[in-house]
Amino acid sequence: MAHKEQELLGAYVMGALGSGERIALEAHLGDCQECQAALADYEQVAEGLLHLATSVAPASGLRATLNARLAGRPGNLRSLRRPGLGRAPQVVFAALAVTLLVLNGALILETRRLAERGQELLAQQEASQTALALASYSTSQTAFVQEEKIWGTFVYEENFPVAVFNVWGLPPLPDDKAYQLWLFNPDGTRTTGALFRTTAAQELISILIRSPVPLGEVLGFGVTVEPETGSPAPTGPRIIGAEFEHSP
Amino acid sequence: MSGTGLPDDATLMQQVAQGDRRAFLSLYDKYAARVHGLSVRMLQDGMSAEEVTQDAFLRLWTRARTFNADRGQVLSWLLAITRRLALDRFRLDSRVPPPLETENPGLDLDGLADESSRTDESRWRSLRFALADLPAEQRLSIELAFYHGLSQREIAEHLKIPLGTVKTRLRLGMQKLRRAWAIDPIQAGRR
Repeated sequence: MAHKEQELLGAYVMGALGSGERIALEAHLGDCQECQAALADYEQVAEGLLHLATSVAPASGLRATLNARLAGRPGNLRSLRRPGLGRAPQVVFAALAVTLLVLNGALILETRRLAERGQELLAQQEASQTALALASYSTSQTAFVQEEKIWGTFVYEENFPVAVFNVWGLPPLPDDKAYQLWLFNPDGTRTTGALFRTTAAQELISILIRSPVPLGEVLGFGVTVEPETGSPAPTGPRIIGAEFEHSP
Repeated sequence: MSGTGLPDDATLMQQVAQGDRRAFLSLYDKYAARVHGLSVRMLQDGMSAEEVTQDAFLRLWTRARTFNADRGQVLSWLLAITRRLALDRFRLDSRVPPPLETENPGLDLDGLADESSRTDESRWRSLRFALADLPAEQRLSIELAFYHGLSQREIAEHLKIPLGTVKTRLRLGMQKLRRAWAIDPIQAGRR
């Protein structure tokens, strides 16, 4: 009989689960071969869905634009003519179009950068507030970790399912990779606590950790390098981690 | 090399990874319409879709060396990049999903591969038919999740229906698509 978790796999492969359901499902997947096989089916369905859209030819100028960009000729960025401009002096419109597109491109890039920075700051603020809240409990504990040029603290309270991992010196990763923090369960399985990235400008990063169970039921944690969307179970070597020393 | 004497996709990707623009343009000529089709389907806005298509091919150029032919096809890899870029665009723009067609899901039923071929195209054919056969409310929920990146909760809010109803629709719809994917592609194509 299929596990109840299989009912969530369709939403999971589309990224539609809430974080609580996703974390619990990933914990189950790490330990269940039957559900891993079903997951492979659903991943194929999701891949198939990518192929269903009707083909649409892009504007004819896009090929030349890309070719120019690859050749390092930024002045050729987008030379697509729009209807209604045919009688105007082409050089004026070309210059205007290039200027507008460069400005537009710069604005888009800046907007994206600010949006990403805003998300980072919000995440950092949430982690800092949680750390402050944890610090107000006399029963909070801190696990210290150090591996060559990387060191940090894992702050938690045994009765709470949230914690904060402060880490210095984690190097930035390629775009297609991310750090994944795993929580160690007593039955030997691993649960995702967080998926995160660092930038060259961030010497210190604070990560909010969410656990499906109070941290008192978790034996320790480890950080590995995984694909940017995360893995159901660790695939890379442990970068840093620690065992917890729970109160008796 | 492929049977036509032209380099196959994996070879082209190796050449792109070494900075070969002709190989890049070969892949562009082969897949630009597929990539742009997905961008248009998701964004329903020609200008944004063209930017996403351009970004997707720039990613192909800069990340070709990370492509692993053992893990799948170039087109699937490229479409997955396109979907992520389009979803990023949704989030950046804080877009509300446009009204979706529930009767005609925009499926390219004419441009399909030969029914007799046991290729992935045949399986996509069966998936296309299965998606078209779904009850409209299940198909709508899947489209909002997959093509617009909405979570189950966001779909419930968007459609103003209970969360449990969304979960049921997604579960039933995806189970049917999984069954369609699993069965013999030729039989599926003849249904």
